Amino acid sequence: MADLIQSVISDYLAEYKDSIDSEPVDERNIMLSFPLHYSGNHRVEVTITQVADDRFVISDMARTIDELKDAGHAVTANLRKRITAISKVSGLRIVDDYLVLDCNRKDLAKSLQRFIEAAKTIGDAYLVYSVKPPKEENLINAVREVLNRKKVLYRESQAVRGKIENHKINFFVPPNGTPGLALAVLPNPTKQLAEAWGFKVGDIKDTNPKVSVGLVYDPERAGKASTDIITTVADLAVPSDRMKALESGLEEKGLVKAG
Amino acid sequence: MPKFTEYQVNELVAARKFAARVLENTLRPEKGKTPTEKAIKFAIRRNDSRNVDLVLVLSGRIKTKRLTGVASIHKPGVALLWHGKRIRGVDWKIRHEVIENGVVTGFIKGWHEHLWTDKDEDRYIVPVNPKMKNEDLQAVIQWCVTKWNIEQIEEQFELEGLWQT
Repeated sequence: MADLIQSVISDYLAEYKDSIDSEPVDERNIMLSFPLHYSGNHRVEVTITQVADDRFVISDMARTIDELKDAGHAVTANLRKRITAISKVSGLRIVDDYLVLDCNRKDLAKSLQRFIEAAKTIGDAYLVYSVKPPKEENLINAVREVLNRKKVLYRESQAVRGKIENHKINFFVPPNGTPGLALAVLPNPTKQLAEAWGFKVGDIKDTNPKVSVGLVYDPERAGKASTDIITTVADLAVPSDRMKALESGLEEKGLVKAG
Repeated sequence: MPKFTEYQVNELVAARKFAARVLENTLRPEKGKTPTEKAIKFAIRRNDSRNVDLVLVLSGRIKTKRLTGVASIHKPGVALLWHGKRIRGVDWKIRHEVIENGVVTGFIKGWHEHLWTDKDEDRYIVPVNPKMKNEDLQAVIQWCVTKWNIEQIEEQFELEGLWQT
C-alpha cells in the first residue's frame, strides 16, 4: 500500500512539474505558468522577484483582474473591495490591479502555493458565476423530469388568470375534471419575491379554486423569511434539494396515483 | 444574445470589413491621469452593408502600469467581439493549452490566435501565422486587421491623431 501511495504521489508530482512552464526575465525575475486555470481557460501565471537576498515578491502581473475584465466584469470599487477581502484571507495585497505577496526564502514555496490558489479562487469566484448555466434552467429541468416520470400532462411557460391580474408560471396542469396545478420555479427567492407570491397564490386561487399552487425554490438562496412565506402560502412548497417532496405532493393533491 | 455558428463566424471574418468609428480610446490619457491600461475599440461593419450595425467590435489593449521593482511581461491583446463574444483573438501567454472538442490536445507557448468553433467557442487556439514581428499594440492591431479582413483602421487612427509614422 505504501509503495502504491509513493508511486502515485511521485507520478503526480512529476506530471505537475512537467506542466509548469517558465519564462526567464532577468537574474532577479522569473515568470512561471502553473497548470491551474481560470474559468476562461487561461493559466495562472506569476512573476517571482528577488528584491533582497532573503526577500521575494510574488505578483500575478495583474492577470487575475484582467481575466475579470476580459469576461466583461466592470471592476468597480465594490468588486475591488470584495477581491481585497478575499486576498487578505490568504495574506495577499492588491496594488494597482496586481495581486502581491511578500515572503522570505524559507517560505517561498509555501507562499507560491498560497498565492496561486488565492488567484484562482478570486478569478473563479466571479468567472464561474458568470458562465455557469442559469440556476432557473436547472430547476426547470428537474421539475420537468419529475412531471414526465409521473406521466403528468402539463403545459410550460403559461400565464394563469387571477382575479386582479394574470400570473406567469413555469408549469400548468389544467384542471380538466381533476385537480389542477400551477407551479412556479423560484431560483432566487428573495423576501420581496416571496411576498409577491403571497399575493399571487391568493389571486390565482380566487379565480381557479380547483388549482393548487406549487412553488419550487432554492433553499440555499432562500432566507428564513422567504422560506416561511413560501411554505405558508403555497399548497405545495418544494425545496429544490428535496424533489422527492414534489412527487409526494403530486400524490397528495390527487394529481398522480400513489405508488 | 443571438446564437451563431462557426460557419457564420468564418463567413463574417472572411468578408471585407471596415472600421466605421472609434468607440473608445484611452491611448492618450488625460493630463495628470495614469490609467492602468491603454485601450482602443472600433465598431466594425461589412463593406457590402455599410449602414448595418453588426455589434462587431475590434478591441485592443495593453497594461501600462507596472509595479516598481517587479518585472512583468505585458503584451497587447486584441479581440474581435461579435455581440460581446470573442470570435477571434490574439494574445500572449507563457503557455496556453489547446482545447479541441473539450479535450486538451497540446499547448502553445507565446503568441496564439483564438478561433471560434461550435464545440469549444473561443477556447480553440492555433499559433499565430505569420509570426508576430513587432509586439507593440499598433503592430498587433495591424496583424489582426490584415488577417481578419478589416480595412480603414489607419484612417481611424489618423482621425484620432494616433497613427505613429
